[in-house]
Amino acid sequence: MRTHPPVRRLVVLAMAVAATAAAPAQTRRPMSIVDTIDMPIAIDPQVSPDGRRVAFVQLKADWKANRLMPHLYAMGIDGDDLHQITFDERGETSPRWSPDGRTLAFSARREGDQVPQIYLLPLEGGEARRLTTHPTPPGSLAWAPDGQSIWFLAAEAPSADERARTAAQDDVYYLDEDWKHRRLWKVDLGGTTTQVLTGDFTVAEFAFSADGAKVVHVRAPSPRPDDAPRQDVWVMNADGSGERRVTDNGVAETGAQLSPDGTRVLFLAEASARLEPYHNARLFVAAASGGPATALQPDAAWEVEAAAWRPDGRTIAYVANLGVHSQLFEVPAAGGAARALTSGDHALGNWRSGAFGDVFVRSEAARAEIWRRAPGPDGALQQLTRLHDYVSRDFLLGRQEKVSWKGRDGVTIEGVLTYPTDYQPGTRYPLVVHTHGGPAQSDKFGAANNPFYYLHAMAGRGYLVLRPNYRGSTGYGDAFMRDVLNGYFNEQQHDVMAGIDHLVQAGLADPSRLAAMGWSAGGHLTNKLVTMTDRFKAAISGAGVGNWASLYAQSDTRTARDLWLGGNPWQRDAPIARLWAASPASEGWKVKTPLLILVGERDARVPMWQSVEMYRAVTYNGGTARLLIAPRAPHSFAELRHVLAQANAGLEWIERYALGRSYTWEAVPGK
Amino acid sequence: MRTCTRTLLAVLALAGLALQPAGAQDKRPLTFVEAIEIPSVQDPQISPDGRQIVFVMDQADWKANRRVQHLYRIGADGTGQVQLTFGERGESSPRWSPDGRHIAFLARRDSDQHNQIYLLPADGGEARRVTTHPTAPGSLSWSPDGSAIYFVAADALSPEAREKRRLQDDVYAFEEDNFEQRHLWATDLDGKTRAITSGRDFSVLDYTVSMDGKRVAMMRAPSPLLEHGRFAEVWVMDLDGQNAVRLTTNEIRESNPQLSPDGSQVLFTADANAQFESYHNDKIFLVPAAGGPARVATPSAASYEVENATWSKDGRSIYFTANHGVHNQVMRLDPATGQSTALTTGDHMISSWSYADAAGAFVFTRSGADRPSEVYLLGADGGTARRVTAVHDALVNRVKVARQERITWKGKDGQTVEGLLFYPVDYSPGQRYPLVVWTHGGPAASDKFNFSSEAQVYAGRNIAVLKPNYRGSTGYGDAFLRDMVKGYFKNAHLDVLLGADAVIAMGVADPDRLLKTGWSAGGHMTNKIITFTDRFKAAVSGAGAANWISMYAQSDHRAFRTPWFGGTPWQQNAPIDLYWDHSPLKDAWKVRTPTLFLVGEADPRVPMPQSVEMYRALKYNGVTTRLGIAPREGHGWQELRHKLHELNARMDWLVTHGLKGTYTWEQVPGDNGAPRPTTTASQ
Repeated sequence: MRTHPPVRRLVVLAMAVAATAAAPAQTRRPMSIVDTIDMPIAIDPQVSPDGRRVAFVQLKADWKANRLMPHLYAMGIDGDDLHQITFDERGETSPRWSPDGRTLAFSARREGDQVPQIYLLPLEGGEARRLTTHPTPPGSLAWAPDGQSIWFLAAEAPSADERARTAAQDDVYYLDEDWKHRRLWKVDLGGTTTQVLTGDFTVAEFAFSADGAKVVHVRAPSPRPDDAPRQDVWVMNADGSGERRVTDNGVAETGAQLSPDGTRVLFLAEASARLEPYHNARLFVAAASGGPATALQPDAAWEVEAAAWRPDGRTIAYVANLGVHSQLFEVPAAGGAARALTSGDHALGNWRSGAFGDVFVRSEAARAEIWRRAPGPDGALQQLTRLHDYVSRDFLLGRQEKVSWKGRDGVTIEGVLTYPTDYQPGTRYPLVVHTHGGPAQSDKFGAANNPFYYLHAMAGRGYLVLRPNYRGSTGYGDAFMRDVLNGYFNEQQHDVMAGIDHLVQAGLADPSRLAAMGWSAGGHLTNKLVTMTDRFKAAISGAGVGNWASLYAQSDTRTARDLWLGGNPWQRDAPIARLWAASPASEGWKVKTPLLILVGERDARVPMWQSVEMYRAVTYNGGTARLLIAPRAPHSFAELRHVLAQANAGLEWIERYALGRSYTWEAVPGK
Repeated sequence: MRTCTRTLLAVLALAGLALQPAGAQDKRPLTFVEAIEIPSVQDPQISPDGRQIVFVMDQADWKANRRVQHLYRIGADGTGQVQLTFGERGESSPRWSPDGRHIAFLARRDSDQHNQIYLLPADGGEARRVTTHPTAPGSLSWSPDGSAIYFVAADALSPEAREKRRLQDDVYAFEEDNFEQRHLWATDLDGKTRAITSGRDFSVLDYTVSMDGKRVAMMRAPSPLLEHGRFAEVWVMDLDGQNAVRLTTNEIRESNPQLSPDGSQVLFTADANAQFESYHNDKIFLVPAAGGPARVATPSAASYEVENATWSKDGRSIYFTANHGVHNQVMRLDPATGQSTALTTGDHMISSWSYADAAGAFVFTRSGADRPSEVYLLGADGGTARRVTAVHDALVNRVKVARQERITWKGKDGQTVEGLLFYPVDYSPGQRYPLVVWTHGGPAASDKFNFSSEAQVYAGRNIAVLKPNYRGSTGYGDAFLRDMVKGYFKNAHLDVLLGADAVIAMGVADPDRLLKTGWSAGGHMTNKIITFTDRFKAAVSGAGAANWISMYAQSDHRAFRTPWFGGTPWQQNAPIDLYWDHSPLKDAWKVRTPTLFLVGEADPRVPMPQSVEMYRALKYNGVTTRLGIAPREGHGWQELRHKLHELNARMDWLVTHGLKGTYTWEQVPGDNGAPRPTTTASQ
């Protein structure tokens, strides 16, 4: 239909050539940590309005900039003609097609920008131009369906007085009071920005109806995580009139979308069908005029991760987490049985749907690529990108397999097992059990490029890696997930030990060479495991809890913790004994396993003080522990040198204490 | 002797102000801005001939947002005060050379990356840089022959470590590699340095060169971290690096190690008893320099706390200063008889004390109820100290100074407790006033007579201030201090409340207008008090503890806390009930008092999460509360704008919530009309 943007295609050609050759097995080598970090990551695929092209973001490790660098790429809907379309040294994100398909909006911080701004790239040729000069970073970009404006969310700007005081370092601030509402704005193509909604609320998200006449949005009392349960769905006309509240409850609605005819709203909430909090996320539909919300498939065991109306308005498609894998489903909007559109050992993410069908990122054991499913009941699946062909060509990889076992109460537990690259049946291997965060999440097939798992690097060194979906995980029904209530460490730690026993009994794992590791809730669990058994020879705990009572106040959110622990530490007759008994630090004297603790200095979720408590609880009792702290880092490390350091330190710790081997730290490439 | 014109003008200007004493009726209360602008006089040093004193005086530099120190010199007779240095970043630590011809000092000038040692000719001419050390020298002292200056400095980072830091390849191992060891160095006057100690396995925390210049007594610890202070030990060695001998092995932190003039003994001070158990009032210890058991040298009946100590030139006396609760004094100990006697008397606080053996005199700063710190001289035989400087004449002539009085009352168990009462400046007998009960930090410390500029501002608004030396304070004997052992809040909070009752009984305080504040341990106390009683109408708690369990790990040291609770919270059969029962958080649901919390974001001692725990507890329970956090600040707020914010916010909260009054924030000089934050309630 139209010419492609006049951009360079060298990268694409190089990758296409690389993908064709298959190296003989003997020249393949184990993946290193750097290899893991260097795997390109495709996210945010966006299909053009005519359904013929796909724009997406590709992240690649930029060791000089010390971060993953995002750039925009485009390709045909069949994956042909892939090429990079933006090149600024600080990167670009959020490609959004204009309704006429002639312009691609995106977000970037370029020359002279204090914060990222919206840019417009004409697809018929020419460079991108800056559209906004907003004082705060615009996010959640969306074109109005008439193509006359782009709507976005952005925090209110500090006042002139606030800026002056910040500049003078007259900057004492008050906890929980130093936030700004996130506002809804629209900018016309001349760059004139106007605020769409005013009032004492934060706009958490918004979406247009298909005809652009209405806007569904979610309003929260503030952007603070603690206020999320008080956010609700609203609908209004696109001119700002006719504001109407759709929901009024104590759970956080997300992913709200108007039906094509504008009469109904779908949304997701981590709630029961009766809108009680802390359940697997469900899909709800409510009348756009208000009224009760109805859960579709109220009794499904899985967790709905994302949902969208099909163009006919009679069907809703969604991605559901089924534990070790996720799949795409369709369900009649009026209710009824769902039908799976995909199957396989994979995790689906970054899903978009439309008249073109579905696009998503599909993660498998050794790759994560963009795929398209054609529309219709039997729509064909097609892989669009081949970013990771080189991985299986160049590297020795660990096979992934679902395993299942019984918890001590007979409940079936699943996990994903990654085998050593040189696996020989009949041989026992050292086993690392890696517990996921959340705990309201699940570990799935894939994660090949996750530098906190470094699965294939482990596999290459001869480790089995078990990622158990212990009690508290999502995708296995509400009773399974809600086992963590009223005590937190109820069955989850026993589920992990039972999984280890299972692999020992199966002749796979060497019981004398066990290690445990995990981040966040996986760190909580690792801390717990080392207090209850000496079976682990080494353990790594990232951003885990030491003391629930102190974490309760320290963290930026408390919403789940009341439920986990049956109360807070400052209410009358507080359950302090329960809080302390469930705190790994209280049993620090029992720890015999050498424990490596990792945390970011700026972690707001499980602040570094928790790691300090755990560290001292172990070392003051004569145990072996080391606490590594990453300056500037939040709950998850993002700076590449920090990411590499935590993996180096982790591998060194396990090699040393579980296997008695020395380890040489991998260097940053290019040094 | 020369002075420069600028200095003369400055001195004349000061003198001119001082010449016009305001009548009492013209005097007005002190403001917070004035309080911050009061220059602080520190670190006086007598010249070897006893005729001159150099000292450090700072001033508030609002533009730089910090205090800037400069060196001054004054005749021992109080005449001829001149400013000696004028560097933009300031100067500190003046030290006379033994021949009196040079003054060494520390400054960061021009291209310096950090402080270096500079040398100023005493008889005129500019200072010159002596060292170009890769890290900042500190703890300067001259060799007795004047050929070298000793200093302590951290080890330099290796080039690899510097490069990793530059690249932000900077994940660090907590309390393993996030410090550099500190070692003793010497430099000659041309800047040629040599290391006297070195190595990765210890730091030199404190040292004193022997009078003959051949040996040095020092304190070595596994690291410079407070956490490892309990492993500090006293060592002696030759200054050529030979014959290092460790003299102590215990779990107390020693200070002030000094060889006797004959080299036979080493004195040190430590907060221990004769059995080397820590958490006692500091005492003087003596240990044979050749090795052998150390013994307590101060009298066993002494109730005072030793602050600092030094040998007399003949070795027959040990001079020291001692805290007696609401005052401290210069004292003499006869090591032969074990008897101690006070060389001074009076209601004052002595600081920056030193004994100059060449001049045979003591020099120190002294503050009292009537004026901030000035430099004083005292002969080695004691008697009346003579004031040398008159820095604050203009101030005390200009402002209404509060009457300050020592009061005593009985604790619940009959124990006598002391405190300082600041009367409202317009006090008239028979009238009752609001009372701020202001508890000191430590808690192993005491409030002493001194100018207390912030309390002066409250008195200036006709609010009385009580500073109680509650149980746990130093200077009142070990039993008084150790009341907190095995349970922090046994008598301490009751002492504070009974002190308020005493001021009510005096007819001074209005029982319906009681206010509470304190910082650090004074914040712990404030947190406890609001959970214990509703008598206080408003409270401001700075850097206080909420939860002793989490606090135990978070803080940069645990030295006091182990005795308070009798173990760690993580040991087998931990005394966890004691930890929790004494945690203010436990009773947070009882709080009704509107409370403002303040804390520095980088506080290593009572870290910010303690204030967050207390704040969230009150917020959750519907109590009026706020938590103000100062970026970049440690345990005490230093940046001038933060400091003024703290003073404004505290007054605003207490006046608004406690007295239903109004308060207008004082502005930073030069910030014309910019709107200021208000601490008005948010529910």
